Amino acid sequence: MERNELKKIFGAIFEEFIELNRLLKFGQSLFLYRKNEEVKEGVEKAFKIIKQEFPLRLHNVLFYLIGELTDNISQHSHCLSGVLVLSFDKKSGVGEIVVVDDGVSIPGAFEKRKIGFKDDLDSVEMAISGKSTKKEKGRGFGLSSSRRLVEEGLKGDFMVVSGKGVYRIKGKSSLLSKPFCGTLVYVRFEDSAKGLNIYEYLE
Amino acid sequence: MNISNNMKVIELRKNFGSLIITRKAIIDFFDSLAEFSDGSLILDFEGIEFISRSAVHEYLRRKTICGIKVKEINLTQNVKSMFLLVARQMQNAVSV
Repeated sequence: MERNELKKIFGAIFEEFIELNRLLKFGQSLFLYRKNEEVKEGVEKAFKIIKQEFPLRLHNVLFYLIGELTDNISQHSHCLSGVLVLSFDKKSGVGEIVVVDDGVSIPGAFEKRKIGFKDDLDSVEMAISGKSTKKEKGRGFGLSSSRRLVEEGLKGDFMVVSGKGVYRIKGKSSLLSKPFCGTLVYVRFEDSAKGLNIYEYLE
Repeated sequence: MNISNNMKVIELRKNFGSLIITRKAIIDFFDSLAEFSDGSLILDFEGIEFISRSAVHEYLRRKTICGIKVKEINLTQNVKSMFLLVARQMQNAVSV
């Protein structure tokens, strides 16, 4: 994928929060949605990369995270562009995942459904706690379960930036002065060399 | 549900590859089963190594409303665990 295209669409948000060049030094970026069209092979490629580049003990948890975070783009974002970045430094054991889109954002989606919230950070926290814009039984688990898996299972870092809301596990949550028109989810973890049963963290 | 030799078997690997990830993929799949409405089907999960939580949720929803008697076979332990997890979550959830 063209690095320039990625920087053109999402450069500002990466510049503010994540060092893109470092991410791409050990990783790859994939378009999931490009110019309003789904890139069907995007997620399949992501899973191939996970199998090739990450240790086997991490596959299930990464499959789960990628599955939930990418399906969120499909279900909620109405985006033009959606990108997944996967990075793993084999020497240090540090893995990073970024899922980012330029869609309606979490506060934008809540507003459309007339779901009330105090401010954009509140809307992000509500989404992470399980509030969904969809009415069917059993919705709203994607972000909340992903957060729990990262925090308690991987002992990693989890950050969501959407609208003006910035939610972090490690570090202070905050409000941006200028909104990000989309949603970014960032996961960082260090491979502990232990297996992880994801189901212990998903109930 | 008893399996008879006359029941149609669909090998999901031919539709999905080894991974089932998105709700949309499940919706499209169940839409393609319209001709089996009021009938019975066996869905063979042989070769499906992972199914996402969202996909399972959509699968269980569609299975309930599609009007087809569906039997799943050859689920790996990983896939089975995801089905059990989501089924429990749906049982415990409250409709809004």
